[in-house]
Amino acid sequence: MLKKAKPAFSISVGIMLVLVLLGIILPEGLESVTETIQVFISDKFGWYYLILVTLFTIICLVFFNHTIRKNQIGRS
Amino acid sequence: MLSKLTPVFKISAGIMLILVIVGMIWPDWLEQLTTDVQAFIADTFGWYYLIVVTFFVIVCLVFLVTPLGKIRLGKPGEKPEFKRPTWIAMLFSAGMGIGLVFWGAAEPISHYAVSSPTLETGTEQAIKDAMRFTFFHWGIHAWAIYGIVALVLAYFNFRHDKKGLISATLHPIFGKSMDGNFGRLIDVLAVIATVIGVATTLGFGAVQINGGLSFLFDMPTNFWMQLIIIGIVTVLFMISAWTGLGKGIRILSNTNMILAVLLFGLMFIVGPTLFILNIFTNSIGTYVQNLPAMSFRIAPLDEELREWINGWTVFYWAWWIAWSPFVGIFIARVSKGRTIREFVLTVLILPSIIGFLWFSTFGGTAISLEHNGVDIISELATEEALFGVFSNFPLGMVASIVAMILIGTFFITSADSGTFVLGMMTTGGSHQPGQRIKLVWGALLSATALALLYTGGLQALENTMIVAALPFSIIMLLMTISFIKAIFQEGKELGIGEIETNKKLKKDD
Repeated sequence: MLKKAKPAFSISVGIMLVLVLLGIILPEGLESVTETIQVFISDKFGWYYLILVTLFTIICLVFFNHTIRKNQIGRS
Repeated sequence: MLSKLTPVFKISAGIMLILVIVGMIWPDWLEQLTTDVQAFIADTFGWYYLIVVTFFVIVCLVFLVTPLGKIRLGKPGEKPEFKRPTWIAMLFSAGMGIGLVFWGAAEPISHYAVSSPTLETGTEQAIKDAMRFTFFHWGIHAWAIYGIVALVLAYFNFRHDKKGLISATLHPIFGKSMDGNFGRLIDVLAVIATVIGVATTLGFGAVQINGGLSFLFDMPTNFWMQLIIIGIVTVLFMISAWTGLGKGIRILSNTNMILAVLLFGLMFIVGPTLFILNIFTNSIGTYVQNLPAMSFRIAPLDEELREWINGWTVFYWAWWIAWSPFVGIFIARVSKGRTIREFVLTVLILPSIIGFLWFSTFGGTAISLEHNGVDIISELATEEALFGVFSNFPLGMVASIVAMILIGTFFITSADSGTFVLGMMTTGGSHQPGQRIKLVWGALLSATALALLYTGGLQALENTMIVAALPFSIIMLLMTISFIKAIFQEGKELGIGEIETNKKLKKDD
């Protein structure tokens, strides 16, 4: 099983492992880093989240009332 | 050439000539007259403007959802002539150009600090209200006015092979009388609205170039400076019109777009970028939320608010209406081969969003400067506000000069295509109007702008526009009714509406 692991598997497991180890060894360091990044993102990209999510909503609503609405998701 | 002049040309050119001469000889009298008529119209017909414009918006939106929206503005199966990005760029430079540069910083700052739409100046709420109403004036209502004229013209011209004249679109309701004097009257009214709409915008352009020269180089702001500016630009656009629509105008249009994007990008980067994005996002929400209330807001019980609505909302609606035969003919020309739904979606929504970004950037920067006590933009004259904003940032001088060149090139392209459209309207819809006719219109456009500036400056321009828009708004209503009648008929013939039960209809049509 492990021999056949795809790069997507090994890389993401690796990253998560590093994160977990960091959290155990340097809990405070990790906390302050994530907090800083979080504050930065919600400050600078708040507008982006709002527009993006509303865009998804609009697209969903458009398909609600579109001729494509009869198309199934997946093969018919 | 001269022997073949149409009655529409002679009558409308005659009327404009008289207006120009009266303006030169009795400026005070003309100013008084236009002020009185304007006040009467805005007071008495303000409600009418609001209802009529919102009606156009609703008609456009209906075609977004009805199956009739699949009908093509052209022959079945015809492909669009221009690619989508080119198409949008052309919509934009024709539709608003000078106006965007003129009002970009000036309108939001005026709503915020000088005269508020909610009578609350200088507060945080005032910032939001200022942006919300600016969005309202430059949003889907403006584009629905252009859109409806363009839609009706394109539908009859490209799908039913009617002439590209306003009168030709009224055939379904008035029949043959459109080929006679009644039709000529309609075309004359459309020509006059166009001349005044274009001339007014040229007047704004001249005043703003003057404002820039005065702000940067301490040159005087007066009629004689504007006379020189209009004179120089007139010579330039006459050369461009004489050499034909081909190369000159295309090079200038592209230059316009590049300069506008540069100016926008510069302001966006050196200005308060995050504030701009936040105010943009927030104002979209308050705009959508308050759209119905703003669309019908006439303030029947409040004198002061009523004044504000007359001075801004009614003025803008009149401006867009007066501009609409010109822009409409142009937009129709470049939209051949699109489906109605695609047309409405692209003409209403995309330019509105680009406009919102533009106003958030220039207006947001102006407001942020003033709200944070860095500079007092609102003390400057309207035409100097933009230059005042630039002066607070690095590369301010470069930006100001680019802005003046931009207005100059917008001026030339607007006047050049204006002479073309007027030539077309007065030669029975010919796509190759004669050189002399174009030159006569070019001269009359500049002369009208000058005469109006001479009689009463910016205020005279705004007054005359509100007067000229009233008759054309009635023609627009008739055009819309005629269009609805014709397209429902066609829908019935094609069996659209029954599309879901019997699938006779091909996807294209």
